[in-house]
Amino acid sequence: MADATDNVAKDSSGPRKDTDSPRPLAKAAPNPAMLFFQGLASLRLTVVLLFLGSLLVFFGTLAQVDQGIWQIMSKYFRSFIVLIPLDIFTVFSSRHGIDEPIAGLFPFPGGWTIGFLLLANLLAAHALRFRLRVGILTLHAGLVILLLSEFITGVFAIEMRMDITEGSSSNYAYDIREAELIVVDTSGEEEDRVVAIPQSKLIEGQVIQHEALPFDIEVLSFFENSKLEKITPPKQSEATFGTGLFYEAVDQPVAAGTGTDQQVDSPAAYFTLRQKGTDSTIGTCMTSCAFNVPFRDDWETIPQRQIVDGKPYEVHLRYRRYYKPYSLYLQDFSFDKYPGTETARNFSSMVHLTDPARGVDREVLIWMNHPLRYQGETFFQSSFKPDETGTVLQVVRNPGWLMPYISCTMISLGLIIHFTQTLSKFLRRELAK
Amino acid sequence: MSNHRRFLLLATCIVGTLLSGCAKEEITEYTVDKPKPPYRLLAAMVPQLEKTWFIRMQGPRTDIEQNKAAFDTFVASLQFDANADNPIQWKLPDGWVESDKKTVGGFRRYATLKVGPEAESTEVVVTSLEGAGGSILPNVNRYRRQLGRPPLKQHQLPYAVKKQMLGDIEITRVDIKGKRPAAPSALPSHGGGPMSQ
Repeated sequence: MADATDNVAKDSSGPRKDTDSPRPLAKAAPNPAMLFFQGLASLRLTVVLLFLGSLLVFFGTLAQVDQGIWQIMSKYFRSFIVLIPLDIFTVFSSRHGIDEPIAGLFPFPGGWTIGFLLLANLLAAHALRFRLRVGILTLHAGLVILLLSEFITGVFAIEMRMDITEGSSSNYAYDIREAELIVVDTSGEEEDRVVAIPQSKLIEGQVIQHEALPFDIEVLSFFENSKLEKITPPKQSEATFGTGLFYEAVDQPVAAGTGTDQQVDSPAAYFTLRQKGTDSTIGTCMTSCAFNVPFRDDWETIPQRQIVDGKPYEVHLRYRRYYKPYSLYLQDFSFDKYPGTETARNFSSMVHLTDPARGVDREVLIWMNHPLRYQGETFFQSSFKPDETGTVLQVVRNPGWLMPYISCTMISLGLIIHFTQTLSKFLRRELAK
Repeated sequence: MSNHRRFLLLATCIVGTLLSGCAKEEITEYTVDKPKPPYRLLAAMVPQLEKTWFIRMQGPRTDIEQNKAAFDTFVASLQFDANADNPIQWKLPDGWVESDKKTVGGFRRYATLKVGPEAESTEVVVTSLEGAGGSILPNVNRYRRQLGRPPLKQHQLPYAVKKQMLGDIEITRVDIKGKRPAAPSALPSHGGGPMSQ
């Protein structure tokens, strides 16, 4: 009896006829791009990434014993790769009487790598597997927005503080997580000219040169956190001018996330000023963010000043400032307590918002859970000056602030739609039986 | 649009968003208005006749700026004579009048001068303290407290005051900027007690 092989032999010797059985198809070579795409869309990858994410949260939690929350956020969750020190596991070994530090570290995918891969996994799965159903589409779109919102917050969001004393105004907020070195030309009558150098450029041993600077600046040392100690003879100061003549900066560990006192890091640094393009020294100074904290201005009377080419220049390290085109004037700060107690009931700030460019001139009351939203920034009532004559506002700029709300709404809606569709299909099937 | 292209388009948008926020930080240059605290206090401390004489003018910043030159001229005109009925004498700048206000809030004054005829004109107050009550640091800190400024330590004092010669006498000049003054604070407690003429 003729079989397929006979047909194949006949096919090779002459033209095919319509009455012949169909030719078996040759197996297609796998497309590498498609294989990659299928791997990216796989459910196994989703499970692995979620597991890695859980581990990252666990490692980040352990690391907060010795490091501040913002350092952990930056190193572990807003990075692509993190080098995790084995030392974070000493919290377990110390319970068994082993107090020695554990040397070594291991690489691990950072939060952005895991998040980006989860996002790619979800998009690829949708492109490849999922049918266009409103419920699933809405739900997954909400997830995409949630993942994107974290990227946008991590990249663009800035959290700042604004301190205002009653009867005065402020047109800037500052970020306590980052410092900047400023060189100020104070020769003007009405204005100061400021050159601001970000903390990322203050690297020990580096010489900072820029056309806007009146001198070169050599970074002798930079401490992420420090305390100031009075210099007592016979000890001599490393500085040749300014407050460093009387105080030295001593390196301190950065504030830990588990610390009960919740201290803010106080960066300090030693700089040598040199004539531009030469080794000729103008002077050496020590400057600390502690000199420029609002509500504490008693350091200013020891000027960090040098005269260069007939102009006075001041050198300061301070928390990074963000100047606004508008100002807030604090008319009154109010701290209400429950009658007969010292327990805080409410505190509020009556401010006057002035924005000449936009013609805004109005009073605003900022109080707990009732922030001021203006020009893409939100001003929350955060704290107050110890003697209750000043307010501390938390100022947040986050272009993605609305995204988590939209995301949660879409996820909820998607779930409701999907489950309703599934339920109605099930009920129709049951009724049809 | 094919599934592949749809995915690539979305992925490109996301990567673009990420990279746009990762720009390297640069050195920036800008100008800011000089701070303009609302209140200002000028004072001169003159050690003479076994006392320290305090000549003080304080008020809204703009008023003080307008009258600073006249205040400097007034201080430069001071003369002391232990044997005269008025041990301290001066030449009043144009427009200044002497008020009959001698006691304010329980504190006695040697003299109160007004830099204009109106009752609400800025005042120049002349007082004196004997002994250690006339020390520079506690009195500078008293002025600073009135304007909402924190006190100084001894080593900071040379940077906060200026020395000036009034004839053969070395006097101390103080210039403090701050907020609206609080109620007058107690005089320094080291000896002295209430001022006397």
